[in-house]
Amino acid sequence: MRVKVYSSVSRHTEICTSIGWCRGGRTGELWSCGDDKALWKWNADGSPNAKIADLEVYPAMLQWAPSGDVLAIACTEGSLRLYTRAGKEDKKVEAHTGAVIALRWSHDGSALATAGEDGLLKIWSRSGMLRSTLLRLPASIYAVAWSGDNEKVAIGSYRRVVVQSLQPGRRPQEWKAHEGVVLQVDWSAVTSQILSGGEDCKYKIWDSDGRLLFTSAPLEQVTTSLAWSPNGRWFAVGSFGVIKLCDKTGWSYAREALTHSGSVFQLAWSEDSTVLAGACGSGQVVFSHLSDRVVSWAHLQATLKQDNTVEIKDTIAETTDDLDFRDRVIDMSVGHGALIVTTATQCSIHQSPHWSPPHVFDLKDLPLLVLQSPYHFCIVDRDGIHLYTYEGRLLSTVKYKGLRTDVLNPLTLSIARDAVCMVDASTPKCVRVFDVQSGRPLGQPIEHKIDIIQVAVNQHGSGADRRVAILDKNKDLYITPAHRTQWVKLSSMVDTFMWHDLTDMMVAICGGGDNSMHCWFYPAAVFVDQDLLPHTMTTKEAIGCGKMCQLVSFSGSHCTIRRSDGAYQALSVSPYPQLLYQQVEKGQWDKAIRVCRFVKSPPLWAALAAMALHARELTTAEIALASIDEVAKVHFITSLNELADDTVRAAELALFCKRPEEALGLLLQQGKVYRAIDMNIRLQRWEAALDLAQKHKGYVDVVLSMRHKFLQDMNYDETNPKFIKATKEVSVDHAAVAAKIAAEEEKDRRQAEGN
Amino acid sequence: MALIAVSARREYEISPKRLAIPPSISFPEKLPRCSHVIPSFVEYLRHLGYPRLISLDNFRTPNFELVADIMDWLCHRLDPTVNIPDDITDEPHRIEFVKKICEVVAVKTRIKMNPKRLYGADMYAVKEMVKVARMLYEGMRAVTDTSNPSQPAGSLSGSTEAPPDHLLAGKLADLKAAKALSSQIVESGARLHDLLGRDGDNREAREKALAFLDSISRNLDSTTERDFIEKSIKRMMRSDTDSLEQMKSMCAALEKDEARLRSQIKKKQADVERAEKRLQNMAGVRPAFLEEYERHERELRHYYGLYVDRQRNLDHLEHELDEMNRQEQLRMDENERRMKKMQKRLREEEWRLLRGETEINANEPLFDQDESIDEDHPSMAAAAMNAERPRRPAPRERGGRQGEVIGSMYGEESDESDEADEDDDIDEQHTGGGLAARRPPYESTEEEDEEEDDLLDEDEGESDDVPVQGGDRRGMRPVRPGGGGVGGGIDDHDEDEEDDDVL
Repeated sequence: MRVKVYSSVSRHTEICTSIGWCRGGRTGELWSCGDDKALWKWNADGSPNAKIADLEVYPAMLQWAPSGDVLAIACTEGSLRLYTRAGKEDKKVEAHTGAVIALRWSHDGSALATAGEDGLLKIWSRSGMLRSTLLRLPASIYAVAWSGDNEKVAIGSYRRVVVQSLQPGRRPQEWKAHEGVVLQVDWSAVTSQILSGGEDCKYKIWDSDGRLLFTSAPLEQVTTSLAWSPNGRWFAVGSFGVIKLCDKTGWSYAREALTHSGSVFQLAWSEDSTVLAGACGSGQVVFSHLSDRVVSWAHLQATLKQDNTVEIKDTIAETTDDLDFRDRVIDMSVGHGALIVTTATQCSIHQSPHWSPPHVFDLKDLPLLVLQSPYHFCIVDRDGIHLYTYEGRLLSTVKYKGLRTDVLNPLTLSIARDAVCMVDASTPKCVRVFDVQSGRPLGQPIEHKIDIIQVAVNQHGSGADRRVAILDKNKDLYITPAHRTQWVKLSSMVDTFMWHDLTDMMVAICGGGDNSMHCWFYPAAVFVDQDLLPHTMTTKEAIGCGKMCQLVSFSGSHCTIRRSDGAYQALSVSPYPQLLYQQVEKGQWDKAIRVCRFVKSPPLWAALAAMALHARELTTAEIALASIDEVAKVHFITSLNELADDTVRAAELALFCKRPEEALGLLLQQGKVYRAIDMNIRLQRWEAALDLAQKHKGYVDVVLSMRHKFLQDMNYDETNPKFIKATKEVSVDHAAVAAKIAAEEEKDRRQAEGN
Repeated sequence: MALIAVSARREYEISPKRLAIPPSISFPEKLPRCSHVIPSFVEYLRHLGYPRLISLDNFRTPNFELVADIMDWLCHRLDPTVNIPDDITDEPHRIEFVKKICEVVAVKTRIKMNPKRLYGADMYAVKEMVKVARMLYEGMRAVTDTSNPSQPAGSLSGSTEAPPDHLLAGKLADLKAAKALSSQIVESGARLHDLLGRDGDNREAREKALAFLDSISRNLDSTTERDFIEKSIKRMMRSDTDSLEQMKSMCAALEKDEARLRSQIKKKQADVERAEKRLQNMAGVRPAFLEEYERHERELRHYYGLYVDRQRNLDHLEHELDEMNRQEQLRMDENERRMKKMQKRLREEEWRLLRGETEINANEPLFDQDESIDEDHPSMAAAAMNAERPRRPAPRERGGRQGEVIGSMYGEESDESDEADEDDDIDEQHTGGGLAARRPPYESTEEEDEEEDDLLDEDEGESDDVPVQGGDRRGMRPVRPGGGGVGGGIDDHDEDEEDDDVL
């Protein structure tokens, strides 16, 4: 990927200090101001549109409100000025003593933060009313940035980065960021990472808690500008005569030298993340776009050649096709044999192997994200998440009140055959699951204790097999069924994870000293028998996958990782679980057993055991459990096999899966009161047993007799008041009780035989 | 100026990336409102190539060392030869320094600087310094703009040089030219030396020429020398003209040849093209009888297949026939032997009867014979037993058969002359009759249905033995798909055989 400057025109006679994109039309327009006190408007193609106004004072920074109707300009004489679209001064406020150096609108456009030489950070309302003075620092503040949830502001002052919450009474969080003055700070709404650049010529990436994620090598000159792309995938760094384009993990894609341009004082991405504009010290405004963008999937690779030509290469068929588009390509995605290209107005779906003619449909709004699954894909825009089939038919639109689509990324949004799930941006503890066909929520949002940073839904199976896995801020990996909340922890210290694209396997990259890759053959084993989970896991060393590595794909028996230095690394996992899944899916348990016998791998046996238990295939489960030396479990399953009554067997199986409530419910539902009482007693739930007996009458003496025997065996005295009371009320004849129990058992047997 | 740029660059490379002087974070109470000046000043200095990195915070507090360094550097940019004292350790020296700086700047650029502010070395000093920096920057910009007049301000060039570098580049170009010149000088010298070395060889010719010239100059009146020269020149001209003519004629001949060859090549090419076209046509054309040929080929293949099948069947059948004949022979021998034995016994019996012994044992040999038949065909007997035949009819049938056998026996006995011919027929009637009787009814009907075709031509009397023979033969029959014809052939053959037997 490269930055290609396509226009650099000088209209300012002095330094151009600031630029800002304004939402308008299809592509937006750019406004710039400079030390010659002029305010210029530019078209997105890089041609100057018009000189809007001459300012009275030296402007330091300008920014348009996200809605595109208010322009805020920070001036060096200490005032904050608001302008209308026509270039008329709307309001002028004395904001700071000394110059106002930085200002920034919040992402929702409801608040404006300014900072100045006096070391104050002030928050203003949309109309220019002072709301609060958040910070009072001894040194000038050079940069301001809002967090994605608009709750916090990060500033750069002296050598520190300070993060201050808007809520009063919170202590600011600060850390030393650079050896020189921190000149620039930017906070990505999508990845919630903070980027800082300083006079020590470096730029660094921090997470929102101030942990250092990346430090660059020093540049030749001071880092004068930084900007995250709105989609959070890249950022740009400007210095004297240089623009660098970097990946979100920090390594740089390209370095573009600018001639006779001087320092790049500000960088600004257009809303669709395709055009990067820069304000230069020589008064030029440079426009550049990203060329040679490459996306690939399996044997397909799509390259954006010019801004409206995509070259798609099929390495198996050895074909190369050029696809031309009317407008500038905003985003493209290739996967599952299809290439999806979005422009500002249209989306076209090209299917392999005949890439044209494509299915084309119009888009209502600017597409922000394209995400594919084998069955359908979604396009996210400001309005909601639209799901389409590969024929271009709209399936549904997912939206709810408070949905923020601009922060969604492939980590926080996941689609499967029948479910869409995403992290709720307004309450990041929450995962919402929606139906693909109707776009309606599937049950209540799934809540977690702490903020979630990654969510993914499995691709295999359907309906009740849908499972959601999340990675929370503490780097713990949890899994839950999609239709109810039942969090089970799979692992901790996880950097990232991914489901297999066809089966239920999952891989996770775990950091913490030794980098390793865990692969669970059947993570849903936790819902069957939690003890089996550790057995279904294999661990492999993943050398060289440092922090911030990304899992690119996990299909077949290969798992592709993009390391933090941008290199791709392929790791292999066992191919046998896939075979197992194929057999199990067809219900061929005997063949599944043969696969396991052939491979002789305990994790595979454990996975088969869990699958068989899940499918209530007890014979298979017995064999599989025997192969991993789970003697107790094998005995239990054998005893289950001997039970004649289906209900009792189901109940006992539920008990095996550690769901006693479900087991008791099942028994009571079928009217097997004696069995339920018996189970309670076996579980040492004496009180529950007594309550049940008293409720259904007739078995109180049985419970009391059992209790008596138990106490006698254990040499205890009766202390439970309920039992003391019951003993007084009911007389117990042990012989009669024994007869009763025998009669019950006989009844059960007869019933089973009758069936 | 260019030299300074070079030296500055070098210094920059040696000690890069360090902030000039560490800033402190205590602030003066009242802030001067000129902060936009600092970024511009820093930017100008960057453009000019100032070797240190200047922080925006450097002028927050008085920082005389930095101001002095910048001013010294700027003054040297203005005039490389200027002499400025570099001792700024104490107050008088500093004052001296500032004075000198102001003087130099005023003389060189007519810019008046405020020495008081400069001495303050804070933001106001920046305001003073920016005047000089700006002048230099604008001058440099003008140079870059005029040096690339063809390049619009907005266009890009591949070079990544910073503005100060163009001076250095010019210098480098000079250096290159000088180098080229010096190498040229050396080359010329060497050539000259070579030529002088060759003078010894050339001396004779030179002297001759000189003598000739001398003689001309001495006898300017006489024309002998001139005539000689004219003559020799004319001779040379003549010979040259001759050779020219010759060459011309040769050329003409060659051209003619070439033209001829060309026309030939063209002709041949046309031929080749024609031939190729014809070849293509021919390749496209299908011979007239090819289709018929292919059809015949297919048919032949088909017939050959049939032929092979038939041949194989024939071979097999012949083999079967041989086998059967052999068995028949064996059986016939056996029967003959048995018959002889029986006759002998009968004769003995007759003798006994004649002798007047009792008749009670008359049935015995018949029972023996029945059992011996069962022993001859043990498998059939077993199958018949297994088939759970109805028990009741058995004795009746047995009884009926007894009579039959006896009757036939007597017949045989009476007709002894035809014994050899009739033997096997009788035997077959015996065995066939017995088996048919023991067979369960459903089986018999089924088999008879199957054998209906075969039975059509046969006599009622022989119908009994057909199922057995058919059953036996079916086991041996070659399996052949759609072999109705062959099966029919076999049946025909059977009939023939039986006819033979009967005959």
